[in-house]
Amino acid sequence: MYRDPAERSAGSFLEGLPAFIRGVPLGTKRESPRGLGNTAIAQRAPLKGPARVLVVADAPLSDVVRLTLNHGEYTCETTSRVAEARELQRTLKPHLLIVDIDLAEDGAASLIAQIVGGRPLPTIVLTERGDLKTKLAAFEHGADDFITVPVSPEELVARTLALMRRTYGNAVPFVPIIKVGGLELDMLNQRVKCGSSILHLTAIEQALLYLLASNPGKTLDREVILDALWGSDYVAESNLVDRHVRNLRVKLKNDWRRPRFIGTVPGKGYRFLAT
Amino acid sequence: MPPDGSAEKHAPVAVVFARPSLSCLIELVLRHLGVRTAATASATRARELVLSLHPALLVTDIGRGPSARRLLEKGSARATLALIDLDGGASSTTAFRGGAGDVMRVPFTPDELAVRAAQLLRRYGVTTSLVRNVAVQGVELSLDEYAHVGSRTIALSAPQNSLLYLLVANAGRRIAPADVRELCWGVEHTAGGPEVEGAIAGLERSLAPSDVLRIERVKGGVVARMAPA
Repeated sequence: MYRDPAERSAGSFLEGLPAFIRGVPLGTKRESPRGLGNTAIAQRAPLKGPARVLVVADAPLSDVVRLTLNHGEYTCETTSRVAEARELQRTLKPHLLIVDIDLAEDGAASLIAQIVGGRPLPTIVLTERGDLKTKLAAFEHGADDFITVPVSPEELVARTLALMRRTYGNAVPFVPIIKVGGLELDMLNQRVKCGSSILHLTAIEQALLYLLASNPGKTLDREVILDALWGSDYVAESNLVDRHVRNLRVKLKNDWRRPRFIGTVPGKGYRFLAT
Repeated sequence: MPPDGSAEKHAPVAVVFARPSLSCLIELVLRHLGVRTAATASATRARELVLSLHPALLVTDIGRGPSARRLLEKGSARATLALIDLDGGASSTTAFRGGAGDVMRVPFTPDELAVRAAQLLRRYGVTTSLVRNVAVQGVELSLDEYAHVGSRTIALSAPQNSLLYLLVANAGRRIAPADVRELCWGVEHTAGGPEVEGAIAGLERSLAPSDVLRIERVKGGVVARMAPA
């Protein structure tokens, strides 16, 4: 029997949506500011000082987002609780919301484009569900952009900067290189400086390094790494994570017997060792 | 559509600047939005098309070098979607800074291109009708990873759906395995020849026994043949 694939994966986030995916023109639902994307409305006043970002996501995704946002001038608050996020929207008055709508707790979608300071809050939605209905629903709820998990750090930075520029006019300063645990991460050139060596990383290696470095000292299970980098739907070879960790270690000249950056936790996974 | 074709006449226009296999794929996906397209692989021709057609949307593969990047204009009133790939040396950050309204990494899924293009056009005040399915010579392609052939609904995996769009979009044209891999899996993906061949064979099995789409293995690639309508 035919079943809409989105029906199988959709949670409460998708319930009660209009039938626009069956051919009703996008942009015709104008009874509320939602669904237009906030940037379709008037531009806000330029920013003064670092932009405040509220990140609503479970770990380790929230940790990666927080680390990655160091590539711009932001102050960042993270939470995985919807009620706390609502409170932070009120007290922090963020300039930007980054919300994972597949949060373990229900209700994350209700945070999208909430009115903060008299205007809908610019919002980037993160989602593991890559289906059409989820993407359309994100925009219909008022999101300005979406990123499908697994998140590429570079894409997150780029979309965040672009949305801030569209919304507030003046650009948030971009910081191409950040220092983490004895390494210098060069986002644009996809390179890492380790001592005097400059090493080029693949996109997967870069994402892996950001993931590990955003959780210093914390053991990340292979499953967690797999989900974060390839997505939970990906059917991987058994040694995929180990292979990429090994490649990254080789590039970082990191001896597994005397690890400097990436330690092995036998039977579990890996952890980042800040030097 | 009205009998005089006025709906089509007033449909938004997109100019696509990319290599032929990618252009065809983009043109097919943009049919879900009712957008008329003009595609070229030449930068000079792309500039001419932009000047003459005044498109609502420009899709440019900035992996094609400085000429493609020059098509991006800061502060342009036109919606511009930049495509980047891992080999092209361009990043999302540089594409946005160069003036792109939105950026997509190759490979993309058909639904992501459709949704991003619709949202981008909407930001520029252009309303489109996003339809879930488009019919091409007996096959109904769906952004929802289903294909409809006759009365059958065939569930496809995401790579199979991307592959089906690519093959249908390029029907009659040889596509190199490297192109298939890059446009469906990405240059950095570990998918090798056997995985690509496995996906092609899987797609053939899924569509069987229908003969609406035949996939021929030829020297240097594959060619999709659509049954006459």
